[in-house]
Amino acid sequence: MPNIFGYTFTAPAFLLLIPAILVGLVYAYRRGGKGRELVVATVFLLRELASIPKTRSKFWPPPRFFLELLGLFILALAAAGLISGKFQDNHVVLIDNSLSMAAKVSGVEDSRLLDIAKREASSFIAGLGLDDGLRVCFVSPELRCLSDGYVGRGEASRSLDEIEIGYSEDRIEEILLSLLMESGSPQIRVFSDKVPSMNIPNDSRVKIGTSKNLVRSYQNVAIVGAEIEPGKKNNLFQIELSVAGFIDEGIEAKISIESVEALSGSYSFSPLTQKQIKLKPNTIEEAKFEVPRGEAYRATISLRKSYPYDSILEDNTAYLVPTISTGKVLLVSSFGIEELGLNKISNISFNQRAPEAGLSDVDEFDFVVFHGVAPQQLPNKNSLLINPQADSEFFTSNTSFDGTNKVIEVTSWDEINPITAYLKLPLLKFNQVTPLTPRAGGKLIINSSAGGILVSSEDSSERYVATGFELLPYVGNKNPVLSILTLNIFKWLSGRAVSIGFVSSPLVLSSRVSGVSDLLNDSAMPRDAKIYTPGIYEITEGDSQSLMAVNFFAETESDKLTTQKMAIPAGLNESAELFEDSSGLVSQIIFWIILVLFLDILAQLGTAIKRRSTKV
Amino acid sequence: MLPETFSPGFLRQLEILRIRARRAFLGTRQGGHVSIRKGHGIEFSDFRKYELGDNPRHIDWGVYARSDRLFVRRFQEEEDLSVLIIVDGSASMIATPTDKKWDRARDMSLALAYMALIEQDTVVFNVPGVLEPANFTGAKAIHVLGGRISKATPGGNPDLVKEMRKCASRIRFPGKAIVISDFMMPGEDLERIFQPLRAKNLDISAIQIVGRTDEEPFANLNHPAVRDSETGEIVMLSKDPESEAAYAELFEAHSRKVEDVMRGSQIQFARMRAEEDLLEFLINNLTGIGLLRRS
Repeated sequence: MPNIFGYTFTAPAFLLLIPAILVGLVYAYRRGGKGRELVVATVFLLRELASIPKTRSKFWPPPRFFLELLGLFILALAAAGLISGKFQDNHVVLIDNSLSMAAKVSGVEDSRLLDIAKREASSFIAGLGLDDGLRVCFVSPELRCLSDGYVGRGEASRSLDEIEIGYSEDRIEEILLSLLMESGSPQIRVFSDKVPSMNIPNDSRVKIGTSKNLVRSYQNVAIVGAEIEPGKKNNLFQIELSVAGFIDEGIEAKISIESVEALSGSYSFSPLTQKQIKLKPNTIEEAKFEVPRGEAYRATISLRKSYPYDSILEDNTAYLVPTISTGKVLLVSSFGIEELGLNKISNISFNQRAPEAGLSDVDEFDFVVFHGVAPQQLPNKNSLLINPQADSEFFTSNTSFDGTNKVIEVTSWDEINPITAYLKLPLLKFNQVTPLTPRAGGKLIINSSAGGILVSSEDSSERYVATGFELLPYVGNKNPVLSILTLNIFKWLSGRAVSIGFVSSPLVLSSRVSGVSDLLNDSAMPRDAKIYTPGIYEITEGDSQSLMAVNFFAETESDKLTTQKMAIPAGLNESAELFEDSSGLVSQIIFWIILVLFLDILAQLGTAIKRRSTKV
Repeated sequence: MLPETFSPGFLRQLEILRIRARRAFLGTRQGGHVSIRKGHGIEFSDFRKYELGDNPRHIDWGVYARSDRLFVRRFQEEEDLSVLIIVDGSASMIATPTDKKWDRARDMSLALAYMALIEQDTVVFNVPGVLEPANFTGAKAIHVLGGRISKATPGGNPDLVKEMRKCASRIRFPGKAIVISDFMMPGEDLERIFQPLRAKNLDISAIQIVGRTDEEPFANLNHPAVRDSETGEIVMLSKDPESEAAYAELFEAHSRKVEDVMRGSQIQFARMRAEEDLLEFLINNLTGIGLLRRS
């Protein structure tokens, strides 16, 4: 959108009218079709001049020509949607488009909570003044605003149609805080199915715009977890699903498993098995299936027809792509396997080699453990770096911290990360750690009083974990928590990135990926994009192609029986400042000019009609 | 209500002027103009034989003493004059308001009417298509006339020949007819509009009011379309020296044509530019052609 002297245009194509107007007006004046004629009493003489040869007359437009040109120019600008870059009041319309907003209120179309929120937002926008600026933003999968700056009501209202359901949790509190800190002191109108956890003060810049329809309870069943692993027989896989019923009373649901046969550029579904399960209110049931080995699977939960209400359909499906583990892990360390106690871990076969040895055969292993060393370049393989003592691509290693005088404790950790989930990490104490700071792509999982001590990184191809402490239990402190943490890390790193059969949304593509296509929708996707939408994707990396399943499971989003709370950030409750702007005056001037010209044009029209009737 | 031009000083100047008819007409009452009626005026006319019923006071006793025959003295009767004033109120008179042709014609007509009224003449005043013909007598009637003409809204395209005929039909006693117009019409139309007046044997005078735009339409031409004020006819012009020169010739030819028509019809004629001073024109030009005389 062009920006000229602080003014923008909502429909800049209409600016093309300006040269057309100029040409048209000059033509009209030259031909005499418009403008002020000279009224005389001597036409009976002047008509004799028609036979006089004429030199080409110069075009000397009267002042009225310029007035009309100005008027038409202003009208063209108005048609082009000239709006001031600055507005009297700035409003941010924040739409919650997280998965919970996909809930259907009734069986009719366009009755999802998101549709209702859009309609309510549209009504709110329509009620604002012409000189109010608007930004429409949505929260999922991440905060995104549909315009660079503040726009007028029409554009803001139209942009609402662009908002789709996002596959992520909303993080609405965090987003509100960032919006409140924006320059321009916008007033924020939130349309969400969450309710404020406290009364919002009158002077707060955050207002809730949603009606009660959005925050009602709705029943829903969902798949909230899935895993695929080799079955007891070699030719089988075992699929384990976690199914939740956010319901008032027990119901029966049917779970179907289909195999997805990926063909060249397309796919087909083949039903494999199905099972009826009984769901109790607010419980999670496990369902296991033995299925023949295949490339990919789709699991779907559905209610019997006698239970019509399943408000969110998007969480009824899970996709799985199995990976076959070799069971072999490469240990790069000065220590032997027994010295580190790794021989006691069942189901994993370790191969040890010295740090100086190469990694040419790394493809033969499920993952690599670097113990006390860090490779100059990370291998294209899942890797664990224990006490690396050097920087790597996803973290920087700081000076070791000796906790002789004061024991180093775990201060915080990521509770939902599969590596640390369900662990009582405060039980861990360290005497010495090497603090790690995550870089781009890295994520801090465990923080200690000395700094970060466990960092991970994940993309579509590889997973990496680095610990700033001695992880392996038989060298460092022996601690049951540490053992479980080790096993969790090994499990996470097992096989390829998808040891459980899928990647949690979003799927971050590795830099080595050269192409991605959505198999179910048969569409190519931007290579550098994060993939949020659940499905099965074909990843091209060099010459090889592989399938990757993406799922989004979030109990908080699927649970429409419990109204979620939203904390309104405090401390930023001052009223929005008004911009010092002359746009109101400008609009008034433009309005009066247009009015005068419009009356002038009407008068001209009336005169022309009268003249024509006189001639007749 | 008289226009602003009619200040007390202006009116005093008008009072020294009289409308002059080129021949005697029969009046209706005692007045200031020599009538064709012989009567009891002060100016001797001739003798005739005494007839039964003649007033014995008019018998010339001196002739009777010398010739023993009765003759009565006859004197030139002085009667009023019927003055018909016709002002062109068509749209051409207001085509270009800045030219003030209508204002000048209105003031001219009122001035002439005032001169007639103070002479106890009967004034028949008519603005074809705008004001119906009406008779006025007595000096005070000038205010009534002034009020009517000031409120009149000129415009339109009246059929002047028809209007002239209608006006002429109201004349009971022939007299003076003064037509004030821009005469911006083809020569043949010009001849036709005077025919009803000539048929009534009136002493006709014509005063042409010419506006600046009539003479130089190209001076105000900032648009190629030129529209006729009465017919609405539009002609396209280009503002170039050739056209301006050609128009000057055409206008000159038309002016000559007007003069020829007037001369051929024995109509007193004077041309006034709208921007000229009215009083000077009355004193110099109209006395010059014999329409007015100093008392």
